[in-house]
Amino acid sequence: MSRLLDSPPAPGGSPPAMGAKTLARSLRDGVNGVDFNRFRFWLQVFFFAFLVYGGFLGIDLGHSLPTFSCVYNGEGRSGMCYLAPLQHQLAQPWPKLFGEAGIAVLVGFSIFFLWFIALNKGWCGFICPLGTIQDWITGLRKRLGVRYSRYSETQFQTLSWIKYVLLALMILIPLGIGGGYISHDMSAPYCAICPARLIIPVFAGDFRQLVVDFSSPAKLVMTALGALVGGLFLIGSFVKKRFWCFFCPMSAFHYLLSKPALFRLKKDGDKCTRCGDCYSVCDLQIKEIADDVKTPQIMMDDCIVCLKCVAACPEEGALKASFAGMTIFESTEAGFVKRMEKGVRS
Amino acid sequence: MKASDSLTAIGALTAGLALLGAFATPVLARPSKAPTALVAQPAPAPQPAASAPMAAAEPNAPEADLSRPWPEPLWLSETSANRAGSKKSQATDAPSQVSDHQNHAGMGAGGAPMASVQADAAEAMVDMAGSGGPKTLWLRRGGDPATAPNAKLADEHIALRIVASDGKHWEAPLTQDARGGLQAKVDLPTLGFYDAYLLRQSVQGGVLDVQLAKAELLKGTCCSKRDNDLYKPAEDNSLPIEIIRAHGPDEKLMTHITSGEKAVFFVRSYGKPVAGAKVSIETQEGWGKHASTNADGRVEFTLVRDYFPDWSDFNRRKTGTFLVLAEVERPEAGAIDGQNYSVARYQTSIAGRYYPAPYDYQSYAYALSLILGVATFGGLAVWLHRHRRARPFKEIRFNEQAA
Repeated sequence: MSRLLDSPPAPGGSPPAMGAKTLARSLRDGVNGVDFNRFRFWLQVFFFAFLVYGGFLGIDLGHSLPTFSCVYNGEGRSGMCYLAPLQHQLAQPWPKLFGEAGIAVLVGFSIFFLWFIALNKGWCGFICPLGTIQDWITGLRKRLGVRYSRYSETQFQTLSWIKYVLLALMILIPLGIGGGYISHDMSAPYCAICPARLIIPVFAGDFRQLVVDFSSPAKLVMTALGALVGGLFLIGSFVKKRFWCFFCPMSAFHYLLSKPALFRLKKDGDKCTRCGDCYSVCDLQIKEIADDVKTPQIMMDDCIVCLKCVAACPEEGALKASFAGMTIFESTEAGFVKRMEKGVRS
Repeated sequence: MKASDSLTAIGALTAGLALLGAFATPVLARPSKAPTALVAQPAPAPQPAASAPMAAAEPNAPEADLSRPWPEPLWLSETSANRAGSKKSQATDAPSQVSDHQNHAGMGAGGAPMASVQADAAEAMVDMAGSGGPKTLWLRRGGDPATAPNAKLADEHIALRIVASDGKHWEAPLTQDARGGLQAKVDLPTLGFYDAYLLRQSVQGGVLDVQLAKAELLKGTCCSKRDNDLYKPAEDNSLPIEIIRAHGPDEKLMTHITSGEKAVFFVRSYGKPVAGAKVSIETQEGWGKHASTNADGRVEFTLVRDYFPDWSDFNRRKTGTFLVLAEVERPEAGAIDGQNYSVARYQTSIAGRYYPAPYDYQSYAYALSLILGVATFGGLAVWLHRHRRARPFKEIRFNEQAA
């Protein structure tokens, strides 16, 4: 949008060009001064309803969505989280996987990648139903007047690796199944422990996932582990903002693929005063957002691109969100003041 | 009988025989072979009510030898007798060796939500990886699914008639396997339910024996939103006898019958309900039950729980087979291949699979206890942690002048 404003006026008509410029500036100021938290809340509500109940309206976005549109939400889902089919595809016998079925794997991954690069980790910050549920739990905590927890720097650095470990296991275990080394009862290992499997179908009235499966030792361990993680998710999300996003293998997967993404978070270090407002509103406690004044592409691996940092930044143009090189939302002093009056710190 | 009734009966008989003749054409051309094998041929249009074959016997029809036993049932199975084994206790565990999606893309057997929702995700692969190749059906003979051997027929060029739920139909030839059993490989082009039929008839002792072996096949998936028409069972209203498994209201392209659930069947003749048909069900474990159809041709059975292994031996994918037979005997006069009959016996079969009920191995109580327990104790731990770290307010005053 800024580039649009900077573009030369249309030839042969300065008054209309001026009008367009004024309109564009008004639009830019309107966007940059938006009541961001309210906007994001309703956008999340929309996407939650779309992904959790859209299936009842016949909506089907396919099998390769880069967000937790849970496969176990059978009728309601309007698309499928890519991690489920990926794990099952990788669990095919090796001759098949590295043969004709490999084409299906590549096709599925390509579709996933195309979905992903459009919004980058904005899928996490705005669209993921499980992320939205965590934000709702956070909202409940705030209403109850309970303060939230934060990790120490040491804890942060240590726990930050868990999502990569989960991602590796999510790939290696299915491959082991396909190779005949691991029981089929371990299929879709991440889905077995994913809180989305337990919680999202409940929103569609399906409670069938709230079980421990005693049919085999592997099933028993995985479903019991899933229940344990489900309990941890509930209490963790209550005391820690975006508790699960910190451990989410989808988040790790996103980060590994994020280089060519169109939607980006950028920082102009020259304009940053290191006031720390961005860090204080960051649900994921990403310190670099405040400390790093050298890296323009500031999106870190834990980032969910919720853009709360942009909304909380008082410096003109220090933080900005862009799509395909075009700035669509940036920090402004006017926007900061406007939001502060409404209470941007949530 | 009034003259008009006689004409109606004769008309119905003629139409019925014409229909049977359409099925029997290839065999009837070989009169030396009786009893005959009958090859499913493209069927004529569905017959109106007047074509019902249950016409009264003509006065000059031959006397039927009703003491002659019914022919051994013929049925179509997705499992070869050689694979299923001959012992009842050796219920078909073979599918447990395959993955979930291979297991589910099999013979239709539903009426209820799938037994294992975990299999939902697995079934995604059916669509995505293009799995679900041709299905193999074996022709088996005998009323006990545990012991029925593969049927060996002397007739050549026998084919199954495959009917899709949209009415399209084609043939799948039965060929001999290495042990002489008859099998057919059936390609299912699109998602949905299909029926496979084998119709045979013969006349002996003035009795017409009509046997229809039927299998319901499913090319399924859990993971695509599909037209509801795909969930309907396939039917063929041109058949003199047929048994149809009723699909449950929630039945989709990914269903299992499990122990404890009701399986509902309808017996029809040319699309019309057959009341009073004797229907029996027998499972591979030896449980059986008899019932009769009501005025709507409907009969239902509740599949018993018949799987009680030790926990260490439990197999949630253990597949049991049930065989349902429906028999109707009616006075009916006619002739086939020069042999008159005055009584017709219709026998039809359908087999299906059932699985252990999820309630046998899944527990809501344990899961909810774990979830709530972890959340409660986790919350308590957080509270205690915070409580122990809390320090009472202490005001610190700096004396700037002193500094």
